[in-house]
Amino acid sequence: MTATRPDVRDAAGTAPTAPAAAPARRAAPVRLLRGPRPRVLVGTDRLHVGVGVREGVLCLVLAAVLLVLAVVGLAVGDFPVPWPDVVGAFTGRTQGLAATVVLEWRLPRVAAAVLFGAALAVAGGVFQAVTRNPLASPDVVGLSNGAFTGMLIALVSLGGGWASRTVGALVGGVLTAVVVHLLAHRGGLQGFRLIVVGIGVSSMLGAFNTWVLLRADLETALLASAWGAGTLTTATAELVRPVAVCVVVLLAVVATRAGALAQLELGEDVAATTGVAAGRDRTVLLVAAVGLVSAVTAVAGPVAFVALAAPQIARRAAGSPGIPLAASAGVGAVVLLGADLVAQHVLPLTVPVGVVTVVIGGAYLLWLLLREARTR
Amino acid sequence: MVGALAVLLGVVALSVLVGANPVPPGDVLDALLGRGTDTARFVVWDQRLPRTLAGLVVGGALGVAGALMQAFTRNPLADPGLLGVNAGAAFAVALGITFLGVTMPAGYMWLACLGALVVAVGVHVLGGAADLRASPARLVVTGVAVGAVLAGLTSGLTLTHPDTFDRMRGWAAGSLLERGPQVVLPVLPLIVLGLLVAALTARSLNAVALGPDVAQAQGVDVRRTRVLVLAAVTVLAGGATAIAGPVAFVGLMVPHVVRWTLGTDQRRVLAGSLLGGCVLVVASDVVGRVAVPPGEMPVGVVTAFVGAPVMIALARRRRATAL
Amino acid sequence: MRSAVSTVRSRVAVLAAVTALGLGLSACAADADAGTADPTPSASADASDAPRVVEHARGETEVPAHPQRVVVLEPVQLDTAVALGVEPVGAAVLNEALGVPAYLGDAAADVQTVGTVQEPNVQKIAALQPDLIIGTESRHSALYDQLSDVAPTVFMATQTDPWQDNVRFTATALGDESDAQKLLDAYDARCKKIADEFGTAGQTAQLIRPRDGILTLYGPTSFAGSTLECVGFTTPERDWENSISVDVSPENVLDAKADHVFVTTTDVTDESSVPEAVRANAAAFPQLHLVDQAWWITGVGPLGGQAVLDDIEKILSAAS
Repeated sequence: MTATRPDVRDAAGTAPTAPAAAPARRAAPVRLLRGPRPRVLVGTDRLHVGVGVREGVLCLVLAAVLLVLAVVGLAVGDFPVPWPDVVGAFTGRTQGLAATVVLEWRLPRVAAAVLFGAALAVAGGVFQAVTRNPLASPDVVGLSNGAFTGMLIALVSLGGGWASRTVGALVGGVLTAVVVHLLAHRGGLQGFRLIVVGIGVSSMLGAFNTWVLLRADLETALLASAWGAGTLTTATAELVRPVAVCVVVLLAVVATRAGALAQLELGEDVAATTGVAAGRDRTVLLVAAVGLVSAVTAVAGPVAFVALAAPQIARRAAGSPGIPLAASAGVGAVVLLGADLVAQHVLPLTVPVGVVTVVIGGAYLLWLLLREARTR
Repeated sequence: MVGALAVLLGVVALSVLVGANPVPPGDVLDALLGRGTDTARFVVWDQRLPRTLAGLVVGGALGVAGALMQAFTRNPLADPGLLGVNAGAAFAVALGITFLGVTMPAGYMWLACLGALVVAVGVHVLGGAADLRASPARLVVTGVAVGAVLAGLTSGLTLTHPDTFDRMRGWAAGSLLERGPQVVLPVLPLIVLGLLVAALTARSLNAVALGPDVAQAQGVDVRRTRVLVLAAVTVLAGGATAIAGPVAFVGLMVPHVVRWTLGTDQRRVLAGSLLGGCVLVVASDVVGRVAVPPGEMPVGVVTAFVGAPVMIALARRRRATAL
Repeated sequence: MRSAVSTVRSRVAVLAAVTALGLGLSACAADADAGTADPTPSASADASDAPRVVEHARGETEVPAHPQRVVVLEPVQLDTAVALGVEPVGAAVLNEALGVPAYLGDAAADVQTVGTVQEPNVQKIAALQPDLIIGTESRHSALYDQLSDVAPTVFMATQTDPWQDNVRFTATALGDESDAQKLLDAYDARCKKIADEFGTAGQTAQLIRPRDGILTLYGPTSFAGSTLECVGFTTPERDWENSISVDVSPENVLDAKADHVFVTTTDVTDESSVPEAVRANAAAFPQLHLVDQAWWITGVGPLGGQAVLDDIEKILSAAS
């Protein structure tokens, strides 16, 4: 799913030239396309996703790293569970608290880290591709601050438990995105106006949040700020399941429109000439991205920097000119899961995972920038 | 320009006359002349006048820093905070509160200055500021990355030390309270220096705004201009943050409004941003005093509430111009 | 992938919560209204060893008669437990670097830190093998199910309720209501003794917490404010907006005048903690005292209350 030169094949779904890959029988579900940029196509002729080979290798490496991290996340913790019991929990042999710890505490948290990281990275990638700005993130439409505002209102005036806080965050984020869209939509959606309006609304909400935090008592403010930094402590089993379903569905929506995303990244005029319905596809993609971020933020709070940095890291690592969505998802998942493990086990004091993602993501981005500068 | 000056004088007058304590104008006048009740003298000389001075210094510095930043990066969304100045100041203040037990705004000021300058220099070096082949975008992305790392570290520090958190949430809102002469005067020379450097580069900036090649063709030393501009931005933004804490919206919004009303000649833009920044910050401070009686709203919160709708309205009304 | 045991246990918990939630909520509401009502009529006397049923914000839960290994997640619960002589095995604290507050003394020396009040570490709690967990619904509601898997868990509704109610709730959970009432009565008695000894009747007192120039005045419903009123002082009249404190601009610093003015700080020896506005009007504040915010603001509970009374006694005897 790399955005490269206009590859009409992906957008239109038909092959203008027909190498051996189009016999009378149905084509194999996984095909290798040779050429200047070798790609692997998975799927049928009409509906498929293509992955650049270098990107594909990167994805495999990321998957392996994810597996290792997931195993660590399941086996290590402040409640000691011996390694045979960890395995036994999955086979049903282990009973009691040990099984509960592995299956109902650690597993949802690991799954949440992977899915949420992927969701955020893909959403960030979509925003960066659509606005053609490497610094864009879903926060352009004020989602993080809006969700925080919703949660603060639920916390302070409705005295809420986690349920009302989650709903508040969801409503706040989505409402903000809608308001920004309405304010920026004046005879069409111009990118610059969207960003300006987004920054304006986001700053206002940020100021409101600062004000509310200033007035609240210390412990409540700490609680709200810990959530506001992005935390996976609230990723309990019953919360993660519905959100996971949403995330998977939305990721699928984005994946099927990856070709259109590639065209949009090159500019709307180019997209129009290659037959992509730019307006509709862009709307669908942006809505899906907003949905992804809202779903994640409602549970985990605004996790910073994954949406911003993961697509850029993936782009540089895969060496592709555009935003590679699959690799971004992988990088996002690895960053969030790695950060959560560091926050839980390496740091001596309890910090929310969002603090670690910001430091890790920022530091790695910095390293990439330096390396890029040196090789030029 | 004359109109702007008049507005500024009006806002300054408001700042002396209006506040949380309803002192009648007659008493204010008496207090200014050295007579009047103790309360009036306390309110005018210990509270309102120092705040007005601090507001003027901070507002002017931020306005000019924002204008310079936007001209230099040729990006109308550039904000001085992108160079990591705010993040550096915040981190230094958090460290000082946690490990050095600093509790007073004067102490915060020195820490913030140090942090802002050190981080800004670091960002400039890492982002290749003096390297002509490096685009301004690279500097900005570097600043964002460094800023994010420092913000994360600051967050980690405050969330694990409740006392630091308590003090930082006050500082991070951006406030002019307790910013008397002992806080403002040490930084003032730095800010004046920054303004002078900005004035020097104004003419060259007009050429640079057209692109480094065009500028060089016109005989402008692009490299020198870049270094001077970045130094000025750092000193101005760092100094302002050192005094009042992060008041982020001013540097972003004021140059826009000035460009849309006064045109794009950098000399006019810089002068207009100086006045506009002063007006915005002092006016926001006045609003903050009366918005939530009997308490007060910090100026950093008000500038966002005041500036954002204006910016949104302008973005909706006109064709958004680049530079 | 859930094991059978935990499925059954969670179903029972859900059932208990659903059927008893209405009872629990109305009981809490009745408590708040009555103020001094005994919360659980079904709790048996200390003599019995049978498990008791405690009503709390999440319904009814069966807890051991004499809990030996208690984990508490809220400062007021920690204070109450230590005051009652039950040293918890684990507590969630405000400041993880400092651990358990120092004012609790040696009686709390062996309490393990299990994370922060806003992010308790459930695995650490589980590793301590507690037999009772006490938390707060308004803060820890997301963790109730996980905590219930470890040990019987009871939640108080919110930490903003009057602190005496929260003390009684904690004591009920620990099976020791009568001693809690003794503690509260001892606190009231000491208040009266101080009031009589120093003749505080008719004098005003105001607690100020400086917050970056803004003066936060604490009212009679706050912890320390209520202690000041208990010893006979009156807080100057103002509109408290149904809150424990009100923010006042430094321009209106003279609104904070009172016969005795207490300013909270982290370092009582640091004179510069007194806000500029107050120092500039020193003549209006003849009796100005610096007090430690560790127990005046954040140390809610019987022991914290005694520490505040210690300070008041020291200050008043030095002043007279």
